[in-house]
Amino acid sequence: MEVEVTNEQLAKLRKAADITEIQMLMGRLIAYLEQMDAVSVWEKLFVHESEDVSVELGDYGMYKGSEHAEQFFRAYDAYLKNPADKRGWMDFRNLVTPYVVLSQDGESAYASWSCFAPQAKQALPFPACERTLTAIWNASKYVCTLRRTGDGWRFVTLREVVYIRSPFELGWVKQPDCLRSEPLSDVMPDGFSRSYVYHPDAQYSPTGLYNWGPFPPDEGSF
Amino acid sequence: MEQAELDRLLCAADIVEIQMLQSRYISELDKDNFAGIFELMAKDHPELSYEIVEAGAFEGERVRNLIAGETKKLSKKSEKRSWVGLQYLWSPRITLSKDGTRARAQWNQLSPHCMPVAPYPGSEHKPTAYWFIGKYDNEYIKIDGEWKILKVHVCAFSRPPYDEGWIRQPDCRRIYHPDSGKPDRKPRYYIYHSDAVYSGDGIYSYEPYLPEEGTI
Repeated sequence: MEVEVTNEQLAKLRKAADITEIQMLMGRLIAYLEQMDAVSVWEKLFVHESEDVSVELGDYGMYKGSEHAEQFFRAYDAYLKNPADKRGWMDFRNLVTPYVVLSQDGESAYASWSCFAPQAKQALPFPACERTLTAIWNASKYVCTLRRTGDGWRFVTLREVVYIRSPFELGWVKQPDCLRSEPLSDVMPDGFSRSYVYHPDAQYSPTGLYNWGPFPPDEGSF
Repeated sequence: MEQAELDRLLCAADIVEIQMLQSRYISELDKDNFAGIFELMAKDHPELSYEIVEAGAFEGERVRNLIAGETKKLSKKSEKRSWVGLQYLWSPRITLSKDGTRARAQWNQLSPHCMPVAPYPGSEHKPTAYWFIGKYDNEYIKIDGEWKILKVHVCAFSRPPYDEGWIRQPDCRRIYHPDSGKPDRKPRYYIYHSDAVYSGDGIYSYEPYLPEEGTI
């Protein structure tokens, strides 16, 4: 039986395909970071030559524009490949709850994922005064904007918002964040990191000082 | 509609179907229904393979031995007291072959488990809460328009007791398949060690990695 596909039905199929492609793009980013290959994230997954580009991972600060974003990824890649602090290194990113909002013209998108992952890094678990290899629970959110290109969807902005990096033995009330990232060589951020780190004394509300944002835009709002 | 756009839509549909197939696999695992899992697999394909962490790989016809062995093992009530074997999958990533008939897919795994093991410094097997930290690295094949599981590869990076964590005791478990016979291939170990220096391409890494697009 042949049926005629309406434009509305076709648009729905295309939207579902776009959302799937964006999820797989994020999956590929996770795969590269697991390979400790940050250069491929930049070279294969980002739009280039755009001043809208930015990257902000955890407390590394924000790097704006293509040139600085590329410098960040190359510096971060060099850090990942430096064995100095990679003894016992574990850096999983377990993403769930994808939420993708497409623009009205279908050419750009917002996407976010929650993350909850076991990690192990040099850190400062209370009451230590020297860095030591520490088992860490990471709770965070990945917030991105994307653009459709001739090669498919690509990231324009990427932001990892860290809520919790707690020592396994202590938990997020006793020590919400036991880690500060090592400064990267030869690259300076354009803006300081915007902290969303959990604090047990903070009063949380979606409109107040302390919340679990950033929050997604409404459907049809851009 | 242009052919390229149709191909794009079909590719997305394939990715969704593969994710649903893996979800079905997990659902059958939740039911301890290995016979149901076998129905999801490319049963008669010569490349069929099933590798569960350190149990080694069962291949081709011998996957039936593993299925029968697991079914027998899990039917014993004594094996199941306090049992938690949930499998929570995260960060899906799927790449299709150029001809669209095969796929490789990976999910991270972080799951709460409870099974009879001997947590340090214990010498007695007793129900122990532990985390399963690992990865699925599977292959799929499309047969007569339907996706089937061709290769299951479950990797464990760490199975730490709930009270110890992945640095103090990275792995408290060794699985045992007494009813399945000897595997066709020896197991591959991926277990985390706090003294290992990790790198993307060195001795210690979080392989296996997802192949690049267009390379399968």
